[in-house]
Amino acid sequence: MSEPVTAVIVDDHAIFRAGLRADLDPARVEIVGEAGDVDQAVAVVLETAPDVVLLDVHLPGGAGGGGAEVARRVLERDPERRLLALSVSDAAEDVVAVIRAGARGYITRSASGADVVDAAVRVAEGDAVFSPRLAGFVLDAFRGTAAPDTTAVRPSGAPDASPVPTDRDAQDEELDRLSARERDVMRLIARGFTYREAGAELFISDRTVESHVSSVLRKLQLSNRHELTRWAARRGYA
Amino acid sequence: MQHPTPPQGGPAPRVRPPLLRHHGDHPVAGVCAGLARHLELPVAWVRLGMVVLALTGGVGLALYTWLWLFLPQERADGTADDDPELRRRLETGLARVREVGWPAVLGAAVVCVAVLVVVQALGADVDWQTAAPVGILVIGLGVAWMQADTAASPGRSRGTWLRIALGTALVLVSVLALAVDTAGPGTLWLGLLLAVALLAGLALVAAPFVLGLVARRERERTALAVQTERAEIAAHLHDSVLQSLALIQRRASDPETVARVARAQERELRSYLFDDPSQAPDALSEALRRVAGEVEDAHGRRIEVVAVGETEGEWLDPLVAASREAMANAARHAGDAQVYAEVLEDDQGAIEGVDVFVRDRGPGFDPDQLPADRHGVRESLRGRMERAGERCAYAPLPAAPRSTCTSTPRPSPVRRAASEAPTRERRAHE
Repeated sequence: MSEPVTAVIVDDHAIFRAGLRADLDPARVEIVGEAGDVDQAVAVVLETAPDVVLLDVHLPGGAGGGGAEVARRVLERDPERRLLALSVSDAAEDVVAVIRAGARGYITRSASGADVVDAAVRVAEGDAVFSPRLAGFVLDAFRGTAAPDTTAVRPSGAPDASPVPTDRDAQDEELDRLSARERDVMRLIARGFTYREAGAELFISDRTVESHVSSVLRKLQLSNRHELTRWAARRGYA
Repeated sequence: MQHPTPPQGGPAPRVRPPLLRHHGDHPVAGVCAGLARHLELPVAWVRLGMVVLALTGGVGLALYTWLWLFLPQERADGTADDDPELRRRLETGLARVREVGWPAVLGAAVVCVAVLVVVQALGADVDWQTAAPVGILVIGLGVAWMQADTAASPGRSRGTWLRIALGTALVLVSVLALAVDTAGPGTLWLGLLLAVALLAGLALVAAPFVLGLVARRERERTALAVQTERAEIAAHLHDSVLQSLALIQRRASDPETVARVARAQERELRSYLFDDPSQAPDALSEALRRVAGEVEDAHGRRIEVVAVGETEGEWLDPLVAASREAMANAARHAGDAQVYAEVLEDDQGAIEGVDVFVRDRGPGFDPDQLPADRHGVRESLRGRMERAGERCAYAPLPAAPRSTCTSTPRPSPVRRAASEAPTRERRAHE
């Protein structure tokens, strides 16, 4: 077994921190710090420089921005840190806000200890982790509508290679939609498939699935698509 | 330190006796005696002054009446009988007038007229042009003031406003009459202009204060609303969460019940916190969550529902029922399940149909080798979907095609219930 990844738990409920700590396999995840509010979290993360931060979405302190504020402030100072949002909230704006602030994944707290460990290790290795619910949010947010911008959506089955963006507009447009392949991957994740199962279903390797998920994450963070900005704006992170 | 202490050794500040109506020594109401004590003057001087003032146009009488109404009565032990606050004192004074009511105002007017008539009969020259407006002024004030207390309360009637308007009109008319009498009609217009200008100036000065007052009241009202909402949430939490926690504590030895209560409570709380109340109760995601909740309760398993897109209508009923059966199968045979529903749209955004996937982590089954007496899949799922329409389908998805030749755990089958929505035209007829 390789070295355990180091992690910091950020949550305002001590009881949850203790429970999570007890749930995580110490051979794979080593907890090097805990924090209960925004300012403390930023300080602890910058000091201990863990492989992954397990980050609650709702946190007291700071400017009132919760987990998203922690992510932004940590990544401003130290862009190498990797954060995994871990929340009980089902609200889309919470999820989207923390992802747009830079978290590399999102899982719900009802996930088992083993699931959390898997997700933490994957995020620590630089992968993106999407829960079925987050995949559902993504599909919802990038859902085609009758609006003019969807006329450019390529028919399914078309080649998956990304066109070279010619200018800023084309780049923005590229960010505003999912490729057919990315959509397929998101659908399978939303249905509860693991990356490996999704890869088997789509006849691609799980590394390719992984790269599609990372690409979706990037779009989620950078796109100015209406639904995303609306969700983010509602929480004060346009 | 909130109260700075007076410098040590300095002369103690002399405190005047409070201004009260005198308890013992009074021929009429103790006003002069009380005033004298407060001003530290001989009572005789004050009384003399009051009489002199009364003779010069009745000013003394008005002053005496005013003080009588609004000075608190002194009690035998020297303390004030009335509420010491000025505002309260004003209210009690008005209440005193109101208690007597209309008869007092009318009676006072009649007495005044009678006195004036008698004085005229005795040979004195009564200036009726001055006396009449003054009388009307007093009556108008009386009428308006009697409403002061009711006007401040929220439930004011139209009659109240009518009487206030009437009183105001009487006062204005009498004041104008007095003004015309002394100044003449020519200067009156100038005077009116000046008065309006003065009032406008005052209004300008007062505007920020009034607006601030209004804003503060609005803030207070908002704060009250927030407080009410908080109380409502507290009540809700008490009714639901605290009751569940109590139940869990009592049944701590029965893990199945504890898990069921906790799950039901979690679901209820989630829908309270996160659900959009504007969403129709028969919307697809709501319906799926509801049946998932029922299955969770019945089988003690966790079923997560992810829905993309939203639609509603009766045509979803067979699909929701079939999904429920698939969830129940999963919960019964395999454990926790993941449900994914997607509303399918064409390029124009018209709804083409709905796909529902129910996935579990169990060992899987072969739909063709089910015993003949098992009706769940055959009837509740496939039969129901086929009866719902020729374009509706149920498909138990095969295990991943290549799983047999690897040593990886065999992924469980994914059961698929796919329902096609009727076209838009057909839906319009239903």
